[in-house]
Amino acid sequence: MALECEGLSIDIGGTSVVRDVSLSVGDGERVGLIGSSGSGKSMIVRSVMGLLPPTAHVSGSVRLHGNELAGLDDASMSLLRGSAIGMVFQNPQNALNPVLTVAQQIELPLRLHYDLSGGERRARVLRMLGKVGLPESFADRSVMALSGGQQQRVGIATALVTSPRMIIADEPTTALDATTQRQIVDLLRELVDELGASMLFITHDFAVLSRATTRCYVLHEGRIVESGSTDGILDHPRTTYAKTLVEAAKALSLHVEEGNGDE
Amino acid sequence: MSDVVLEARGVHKTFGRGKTHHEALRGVDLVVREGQSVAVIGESGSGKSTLTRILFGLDCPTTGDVLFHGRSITGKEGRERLLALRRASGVVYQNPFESLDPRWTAAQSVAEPLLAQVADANIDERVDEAFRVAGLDAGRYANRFPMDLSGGQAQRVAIARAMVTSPQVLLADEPMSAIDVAARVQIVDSLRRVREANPDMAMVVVSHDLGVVQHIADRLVVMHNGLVVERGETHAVLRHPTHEYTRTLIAAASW
Repeated sequence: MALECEGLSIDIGGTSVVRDVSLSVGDGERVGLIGSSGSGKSMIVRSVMGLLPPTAHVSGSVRLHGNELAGLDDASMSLLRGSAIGMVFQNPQNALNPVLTVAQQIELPLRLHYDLSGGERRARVLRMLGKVGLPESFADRSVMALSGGQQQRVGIATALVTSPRMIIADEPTTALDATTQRQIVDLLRELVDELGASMLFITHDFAVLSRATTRCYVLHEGRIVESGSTDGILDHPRTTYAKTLVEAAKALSLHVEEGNGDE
Repeated sequence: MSDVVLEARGVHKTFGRGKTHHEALRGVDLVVREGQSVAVIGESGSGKSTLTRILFGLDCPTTGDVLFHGRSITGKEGRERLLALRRASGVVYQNPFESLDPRWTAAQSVAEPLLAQVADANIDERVDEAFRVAGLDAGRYANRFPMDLSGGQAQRVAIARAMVTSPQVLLADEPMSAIDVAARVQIVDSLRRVREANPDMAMVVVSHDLGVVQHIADRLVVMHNGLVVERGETHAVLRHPTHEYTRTLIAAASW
């Protein structure tokens, strides 16, 4: 099992934000975690990454490839972040370092975790640029000179450059245009499968989820209220909350009666 | 056909000069009629926000003109007309938590545009009515602060605030991009109710998402690289797109 949370509960300042959550991501599996803002999904991600605020009280267990993460100190977690776990964030503009070039940004995890020469790092960075669909000429540009979609491609390259076995994508398309969203979801899915890695994909949108994952958990007010195959829940949501999410996604998807040649 | 409320004629907009200049709009015409809802669609950088900012007098065209009820709002001569447009328009922004004052209750935020315009004993009544039209229970939400509201609730407060002065034109600039999908449906519903309650009001919606605007726009204007590449009645454009870029947008919204 790539990732396993068991009985995970998180309290922050006396408020219970995650309640007895158990979920798992199998090896090579793409799994979704869906819920509205405030449902606790980002807190679950943060607990896996060891990025919860110091006031948070955590109980339960989080295992990565069988190794317990709960209770690990900062130094041990730093060794895992960027090597064993790659993370793609919601807003690439905030997640990338504005003073770095594209190449400097992407090679950061390699510098931190690997003993490679500058030339070897450069070669890997250029290879990653190709994989995320950016030209090599972008390597020495500032990340701030790129569009949102291009920045998110750099974010994905940074997350995947060390070939981590586990990828966590926290709303990676929410800040992007509709046209770019589709490209980024498809790119992420393709690269994760090519790596043979596992992915936990967080979103509030069933439309995005259906394209990114095969199985999912529905989170409401800190609890998992429903889980199963993504297509199954889309077709037959059982809980009122899952129904609301599915109906919203369907209402906001285009259903053009006459064919337009694309869909 | 009903009267033209707002019109852009041959609008060009250039930012910067010399080598680094950027032509955001390269000659755009747009007509918004009474009672009509027009969606300006395109991705980041297409010029859609620049166009609507100019249309509502929040920025000036480099060349070209903008008319409110047939008279120019640009330049010195247009000053009075511009002020008339400001009084007659309401704006809903992308992020309600940035557009609402965090120190004010929902009711205070909704009442403020009225206080600036009228000395009216019926302010409470009109605030209640604005809440109702936006689809919010005033009794439940009027005394809450933005931090005690969800994204969807806060955006409906912002809609009530924009509607309280009964504007002739409403600009909604990416009103759903910052909130989650379940709440977007509530905003669609809220904007529909607002239109039903104000059948003569014209509305301009800026969006990158056809899935959202299919429910609230009568007409679509598709922008790409500073030009209008396609325009027409919403369902006609969705069924028979003629431009390649429109097809891309349709595919992106068809999950």
